[in-house]
Amino acid sequence: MEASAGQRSARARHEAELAGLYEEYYDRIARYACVHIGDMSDAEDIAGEVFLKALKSLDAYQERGIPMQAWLFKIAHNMVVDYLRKKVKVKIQPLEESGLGGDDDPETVAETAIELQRVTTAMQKLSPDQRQVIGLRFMGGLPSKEVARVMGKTDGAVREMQRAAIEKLRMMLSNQA
Amino acid sequence: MEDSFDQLLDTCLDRLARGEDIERVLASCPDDANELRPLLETAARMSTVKPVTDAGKKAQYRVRFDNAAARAAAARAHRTWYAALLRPGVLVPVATAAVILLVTLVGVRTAFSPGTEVVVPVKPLASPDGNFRFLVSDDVNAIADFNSVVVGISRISLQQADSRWVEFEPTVKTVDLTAVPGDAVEEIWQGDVPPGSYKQVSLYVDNVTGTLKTGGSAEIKLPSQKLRIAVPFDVSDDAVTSFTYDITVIQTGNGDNSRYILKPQANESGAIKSSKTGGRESSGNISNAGGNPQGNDGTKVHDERPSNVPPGQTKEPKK
Repeated sequence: MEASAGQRSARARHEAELAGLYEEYYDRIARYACVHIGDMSDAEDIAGEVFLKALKSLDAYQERGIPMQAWLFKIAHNMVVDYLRKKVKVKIQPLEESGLGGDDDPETVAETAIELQRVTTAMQKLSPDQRQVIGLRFMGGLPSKEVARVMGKTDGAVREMQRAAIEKLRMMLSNQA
Repeated sequence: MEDSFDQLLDTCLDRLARGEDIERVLASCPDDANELRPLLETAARMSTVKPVTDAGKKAQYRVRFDNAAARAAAARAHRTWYAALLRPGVLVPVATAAVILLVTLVGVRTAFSPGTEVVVPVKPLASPDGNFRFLVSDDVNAIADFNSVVVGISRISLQQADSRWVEFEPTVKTVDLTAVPGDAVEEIWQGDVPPGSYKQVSLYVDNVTGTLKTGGSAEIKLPSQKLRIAVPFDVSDDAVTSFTYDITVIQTGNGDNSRYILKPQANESGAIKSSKTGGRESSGNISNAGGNPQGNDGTKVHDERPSNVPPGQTKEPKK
């Protein structure tokens, strides 16, 4: 069935909106995926594929009515789940950084990588839902209301999981120090 | 019924995310400050630790996204034209012309696609007559604490000025950094790489094992399995470029919190060029510790420069 002019116009607007989100949300989605799967290179592949998949599925988005950022994280989460199903164990390894250019301080980069490894290790000890809340809140930068929409849970349930997850992380990170 | 503390915590987290100072946030909730503080400090710690994305990979995916969006837009435009041309007496000639025009446009666009980051790796072969040598050296620093620091190298990548990558596997896959201090170097590969300008070098390190002089092993942290330095250099077919990649081990922290970290040294790394003379670069200072003929058969070659080394024979970092 031929799309109407209105539908085509809406589609073009959503494509433009999606393109506008790329620069900021590629990074956020990659970080979100990274703390789940433990591999930044694969996490970036997931982030790139999220945008390509979103472009293909844009007609499905128009029917959902949630913020596009939140929809992107839904796609990202599904890809993360698929990725983890194929892996026996989540890799906790020194993570890729963008590069040690001549002006970067490798000591700082190394310290950051070590701290990130600690955080990722601690995240693996959370429940899947808690990990998703923390990933969406701190790596994805989403407010708790949007986290609730991504996860299909109530705002109250998300806030409760958030508090429990932070308490657990606090204990684990304190024990690691 | 939801705990009001959960709501308060959530509000405080939003304020931290907007950049408010943690003390200011706590000051506005004096009754709950003691309970909130450790949670907000943990949240702040989570927020500051963010892995950095690879700009090259991000750009690649951006190109793919833009191309896919352009194809979708072209398909929509084609459908619009098609619908407008479905009129009696006009359909056949106009539709034919539109299809021919579209095919031509797609062909032209494909032929003149803007230059993108081409990431097709070029895999040069090792060769004793090659125009490029890859050497490893180290600055002593905390390496002095060790009897051995063995680094396992699986791959080397060189990025050309046009962002194409040249990748190869080293012929020598493990290097003991304690054996190549200061000006000493170890060649781990020689072969032919495409001539031109290069801007970055990545060393893929799979593992590093250190044995302390005091006995026992020590963990040496890898900041990343890909150690990248931005050091420009040129390669040409009529000379041999010898690139020295300098690595060291540093110790950070104090007491129980101290740790060793492997660190690439961009300022100590760089390339020198020498003319080809009958194949392999000749230098009176290269000696082969194993007594075997020089050649690219995986034999280690130690370049131990004596104190009377003439100018130009030392590794000169490229500034």
